[in-house]
Amino acid sequence: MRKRFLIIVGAALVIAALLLTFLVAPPIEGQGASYRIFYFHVPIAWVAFFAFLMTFIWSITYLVKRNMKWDFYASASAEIGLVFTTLILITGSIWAKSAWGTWWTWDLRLTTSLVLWLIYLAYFLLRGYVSDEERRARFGAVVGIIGFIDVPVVALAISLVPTTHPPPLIFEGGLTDWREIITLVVGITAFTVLYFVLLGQRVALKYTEDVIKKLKAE
Amino acid sequence: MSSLAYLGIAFAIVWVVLFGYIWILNSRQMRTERELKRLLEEKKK
Amino acid sequence: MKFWRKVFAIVRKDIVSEFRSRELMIAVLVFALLSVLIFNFAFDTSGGEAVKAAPGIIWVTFAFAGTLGLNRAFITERESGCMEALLMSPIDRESIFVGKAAGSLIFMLPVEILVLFAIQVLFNVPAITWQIILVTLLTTIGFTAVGTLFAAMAVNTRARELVLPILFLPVISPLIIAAVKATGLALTGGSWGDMLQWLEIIIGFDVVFITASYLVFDFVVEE
Repeated sequence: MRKRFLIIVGAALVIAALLLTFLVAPPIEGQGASYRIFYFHVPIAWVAFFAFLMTFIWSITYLVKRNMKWDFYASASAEIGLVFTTLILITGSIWAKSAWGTWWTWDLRLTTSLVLWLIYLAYFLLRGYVSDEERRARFGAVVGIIGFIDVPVVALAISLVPTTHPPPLIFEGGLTDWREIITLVVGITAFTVLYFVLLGQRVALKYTEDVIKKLKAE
Repeated sequence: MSSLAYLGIAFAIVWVVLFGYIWILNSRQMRTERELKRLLEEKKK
Repeated sequence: MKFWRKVFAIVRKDIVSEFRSRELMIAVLVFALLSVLIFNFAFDTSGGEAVKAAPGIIWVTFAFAGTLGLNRAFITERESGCMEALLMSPIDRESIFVGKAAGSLIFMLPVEILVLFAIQVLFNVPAITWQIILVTLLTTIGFTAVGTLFAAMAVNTRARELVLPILFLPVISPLIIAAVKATGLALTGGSWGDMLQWLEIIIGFDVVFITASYLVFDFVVEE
């Protein structure tokens, strides 16, 4: 029941976000239509960060409580985070190409996202190589914790590197137009609901697979 | 490539990836549930 | 006081066994020197160009040689069955962590100094300076702390040599970034003041990650 409700709310928000992004948000001087990528690039980045925050929290919970449920949540969240981080890299790259003509720029956001992507890829690689279920959960939790703590440090280090490339400062002055603000807020909300829907699906799958594994073991 | 084209491509990729992911999760869920049903039937015998 | 005595015991055991089988230290050293050689072919290191390429060459070499060196901290344990004995003894996990990390540090530093000498001689850049030595020391401390934590996990997996670099190089990327920048400044005659922000990052990283690794190591080796 609640799941259905969440999906409907999510779909409605997504549609609202799309309409706002394309129709309501005002165009910006000197930037073509492609600047609107911002309106889903930012919510996606927010969700990726949020997903890893939740992985961090559930990883700690697992190590404290040792219930497999927490590992299901932690790894499902990490998976969603990885998917969204991939999207950050893709949308960021396309935006870069459209704004400056290069597919990649070593600016703060993209570089930090790349490192984040690598850390969480390593999370899954490590888990893939561990055969024992309990140890896999434990190691995953350790990486989930250390990886998350690393993110601000990485961002700080990269921010101090002098680049010849000016980052897209369009929005540094803050969003002043209420249309921009509401488009962004709806976008963030929509993607957050999407995160929870995906999380529910992914965790349910883990539970089902776990039941099967236990049945087969008998 | 026009600015709008870039926007369109980015947009398309995001939705393809997201829906692709949802679709994969869904089909895995259905396959797993079928497997579960099959195992439970076998157990009854 | 007891803590440091236990740490010292582990470090001493590592060094003694390492000293007897000096092969690994020599292998890592040779690897490091070879990589410097290959970089020499890869980059234009004539005249003024050398100073630009040197920091990157130095730190890539240290990162890869260091990863090789880290594996050694636990492979011998696992193969000789020493890990179980170590865990069953009354020594607490934290001491094991510090001991192992310190062992790797003591192992790495001579290799790094020798590589710096080689760089100074081969590329004619002022690599042996107090500034660079300090940067190297501080960076290697953080490197070995996080590396020891991850090596303890990697050793328990099916593809240990592969897993360790993939796992821990992204995590220590801020260290490498800061070290490269600081080394670059040092080589071009920068003052301590110029290097300060990078040193702060390295020290900050060390403090945060030594603490985090220390706290979390217990979870990695519990069996």
